[in-house]
Amino acid sequence: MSISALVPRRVIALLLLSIVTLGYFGFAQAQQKKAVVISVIPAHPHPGEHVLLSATSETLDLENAELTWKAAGKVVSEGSGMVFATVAIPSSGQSLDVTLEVDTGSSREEASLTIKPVLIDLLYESDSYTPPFFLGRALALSPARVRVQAIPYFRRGGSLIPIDQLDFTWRVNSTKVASVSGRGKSVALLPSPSLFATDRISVEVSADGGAYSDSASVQISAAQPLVTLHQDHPLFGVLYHQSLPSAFSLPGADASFAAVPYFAAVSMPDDIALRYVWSVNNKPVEGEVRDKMDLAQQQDAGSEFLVSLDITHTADYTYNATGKWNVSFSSSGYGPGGSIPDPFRGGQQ
Amino acid sequence: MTPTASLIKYLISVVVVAAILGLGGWYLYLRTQSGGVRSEEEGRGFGIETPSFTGSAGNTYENIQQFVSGNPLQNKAARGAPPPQLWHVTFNPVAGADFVQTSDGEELYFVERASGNVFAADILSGEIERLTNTLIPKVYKAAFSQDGGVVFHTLNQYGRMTLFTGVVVPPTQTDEVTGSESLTQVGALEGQFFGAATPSFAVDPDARHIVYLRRSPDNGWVGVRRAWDGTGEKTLFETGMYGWRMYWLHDDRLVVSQSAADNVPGYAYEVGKGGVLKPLLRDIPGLVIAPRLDLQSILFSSSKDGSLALFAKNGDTIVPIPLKTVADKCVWAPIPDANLPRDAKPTKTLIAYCAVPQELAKGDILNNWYKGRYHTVDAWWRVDASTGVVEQLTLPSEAIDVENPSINKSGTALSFMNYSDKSLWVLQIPAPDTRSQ
Repeated sequence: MSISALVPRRVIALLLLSIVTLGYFGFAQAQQKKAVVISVIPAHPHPGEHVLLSATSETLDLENAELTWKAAGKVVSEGSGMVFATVAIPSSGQSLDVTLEVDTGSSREEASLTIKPVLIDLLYESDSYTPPFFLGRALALSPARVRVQAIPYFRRGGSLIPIDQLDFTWRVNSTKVASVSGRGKSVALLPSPSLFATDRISVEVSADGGAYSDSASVQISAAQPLVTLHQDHPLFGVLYHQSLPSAFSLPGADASFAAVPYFAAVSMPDDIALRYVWSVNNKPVEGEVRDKMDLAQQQDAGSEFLVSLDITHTADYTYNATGKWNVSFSSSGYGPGGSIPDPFRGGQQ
Repeated sequence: MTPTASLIKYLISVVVVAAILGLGGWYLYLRTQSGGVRSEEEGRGFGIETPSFTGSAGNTYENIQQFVSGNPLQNKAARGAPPPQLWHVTFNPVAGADFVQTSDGEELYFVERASGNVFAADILSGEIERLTNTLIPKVYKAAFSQDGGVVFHTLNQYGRMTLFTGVVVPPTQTDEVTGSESLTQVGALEGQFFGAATPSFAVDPDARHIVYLRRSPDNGWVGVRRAWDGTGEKTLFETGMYGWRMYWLHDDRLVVSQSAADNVPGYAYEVGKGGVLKPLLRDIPGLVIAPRLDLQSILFSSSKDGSLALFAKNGDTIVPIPLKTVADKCVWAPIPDANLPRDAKPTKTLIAYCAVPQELAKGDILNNWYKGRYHTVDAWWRVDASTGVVEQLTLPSEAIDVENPSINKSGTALSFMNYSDKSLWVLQIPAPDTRSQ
């Protein structure tokens, strides 16, 4: 019996049509990607600065291809597998055209870009919450604010022009923010992008009536609300270095936990602007429980608990950080299955 | 067959095919997602042995001694045999460790996180000595001046970060009551707490000075330098940003770098005269730096689109290093002349040691690592930053996520903490003929 007798021809036709369609979209997507991509470190160099150029490709074997790097039309580096090159940006402040030619033997590809030097460094962070001793960047998430600082390097007669002689104009998505703009205002506090959004913050800096001027901009994407759970240990304090996974086991019959609401618009996690709703085994935890919770105080039956937490911000309904953790207590120890000995109860009673 | 029946059959066929394709796609999606979650949770360090305070006498003192591998009733603990090449100095969580110069030579000082007690380890004999018994609970970070001055970073009663600078005061050699020598006496830690601080501070490698950030009257921040005893306070620079990491180099040079996040541009500067920030590295996503003490070279890492990259900046030249790690896991080999002046002739070889993750999870590596959501298993590599040539020194025989590495003055041993459990390790740097292949 043939396949066509078992499966209707229309079904076969539809399957074939689906395969062709999916294949077409895959092919089209591949075509949209450039064969060779040039990256620049730093992306926005100062005049006279040296930059590192690097080539990457998802479709070509660059390690075995002949690469020729050109800057302003002149060869600066060439050879087999030369995926890196260093060039100097003109000290005059003019843009520099960079070209890369790739010869794989069977095909030739070319990529190019223009590097425009800038005279302003534009730094940003957020005033959002991060836990003590956190070494990472505080990211922007509404209703927290973005803190931006422009560091201009305008030289007049060989000396840097002081900040208090420079005019700063700050914009968010092309809209001027007059309240933070003006003479000497190199630092600004601006609203964070809304959840899932990206804002473009730019600054124009000028001096001497426009004799010196430049601009810089940066795109800032909103971070995602995140809550992590950590053990609040009686001897070691909050174990910030170990975020508890979605299922874990602890020794004993009770434990204290600390929730860390990353990037919330507060300076401390117990700020009243945050509303904590804890539940254990789907029953809301009663009483005033904020960022810290003792599990034994809430539940004294059984050794396995589903702990869930929902955090909202009174100033912004879009802020919502949630988490769920399966907690089990064992007499033997830490870790899944309680395989690790209890550090405080063994052998010292 | 009527047209209606034919249409219905056709629609059913379309629905069946769409359902099959949809379920197939959903299956593939779920498989990738569950793989990501599994690897993330494995990376968090569960399954790693946890420190244990099992002591026979049942008090904190015995527990502490138990976990620094010594005899609980004596301060000096003879171990008999020298420690192994990779030595687990203590299972107890430590707040920090570094090599310091003492009257006995060079020793590895470390601070116990739970008690704030200071210990000294002899990395050749394996002997460990408790230097202080002054209780300062829950010390989260600790550092040392080269001569053994101690800095603690802890939380005050309001949960705010606070700093402490102190010195180890040796014990009285004679017991005041009995008049006899006492082996059980230990020293005390004397010093002072000060100021609300930010996560970063730096210690002068040449003297007992500290630099840290504090709030300025105009709502910005100022980098302040002060002596160990609180005297000689001086403002070094002003900034509108809170998230800086600071590195104090020889010859009183200070380097600052923005706190890092994946895909977010970072900047690093040398603080010049008058607080001018002189650019060193600019606009690099996920920038983390490890400057050499003479600033002849800077190891720096970037994190972009889920990929780590390591580089060395030697003057104007940037050298790619073929390792995927964070510069926080790197330490420079010691400079022969520690007091190298700024105009000294540069050394030709630029050697560093980097711990390199064997595998990297997908996604935001840096963000998740700093949050303790992800831990790595590292192997040590030797890096020639002048050429970009690397050589593997060890295989990861233990699941160690290296943080806070330091190196002794002779360049023969590395100390580092395991970020998974904050325990302390020492690696005797293997000679070329004994290195793991």
